[in-house]
Amino acid sequence: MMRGLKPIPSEGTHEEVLESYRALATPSDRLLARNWHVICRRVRDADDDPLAVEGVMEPPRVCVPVPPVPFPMPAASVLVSLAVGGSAAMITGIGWSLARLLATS
Amino acid sequence: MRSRTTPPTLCPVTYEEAAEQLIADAYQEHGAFVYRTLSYLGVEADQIEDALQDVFVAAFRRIRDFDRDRSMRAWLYGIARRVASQHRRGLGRRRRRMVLVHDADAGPDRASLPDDRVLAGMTIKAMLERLDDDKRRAFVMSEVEGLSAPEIARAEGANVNTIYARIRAARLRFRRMLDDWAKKAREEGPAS
Repeated sequence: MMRGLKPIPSEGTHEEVLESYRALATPSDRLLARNWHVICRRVRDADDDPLAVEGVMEPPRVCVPVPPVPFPMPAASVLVSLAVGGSAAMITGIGWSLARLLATS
Repeated sequence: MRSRTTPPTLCPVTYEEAAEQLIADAYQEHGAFVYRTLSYLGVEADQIEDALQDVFVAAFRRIRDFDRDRSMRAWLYGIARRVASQHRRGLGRRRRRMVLVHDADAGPDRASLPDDRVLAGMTIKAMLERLDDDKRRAFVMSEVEGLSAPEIARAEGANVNTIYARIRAARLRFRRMLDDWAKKAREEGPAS
């Protein structure tokens, strides 16, 4: 077993044992020929792409009507006005309370 | 290996013809290399043929990306890495469209190898499996398949110096494992 191991001069590894490993994984010509026939068939199927990303959502090709909103949505400007108004009222209230507190003390 | 019913054209006129010819030549020259590479990359034995087909079908679809100034083997190695990754995750099997009948000649042609070479190859395989994945890939591609470090770096998307470092580390570890194995064999030899 592993007779006459020949170190690769430049590297010091063993060419012959690596060649055995390579030979062990090498397919037969018949296997390669058989798979070539299958490859030729698969290539003609334009949808066959083994590396096409799977699980990616494709964009919809048909326009789907958006369901109606169950309650009327106020415009963004109305929401902003309400927020500003509420803040102003709160600040006014706090100021008025402070003024009363100072007046009583 | 070329098995098309029509003879190859000397001067392809369409893109598809040119692509088919390029892939046919690549398969003839590098088909065995790709098969071995898939085996090194950990694709299960019963899936290697499907993965082999996947590599060349994917290569055909992406032939426009191939730079003719670069190495075809390194390019195929890069595709084989992605296909092997899919097959290890079980995606290849689910996606498979072609059902191939596996017959007696599936897999490597071990019958033609002497027993001692089969045993040596299996011993080396067991040793290499003890290396880290990235070091094993770099070592096998460099020492067994003869790719250059820049070719491996491009296919792996890694820095060339990183690949050199991986190869060096793997060589050192492999040599130690071989020395240990030889020492053990010598010790056990006289007793048997």
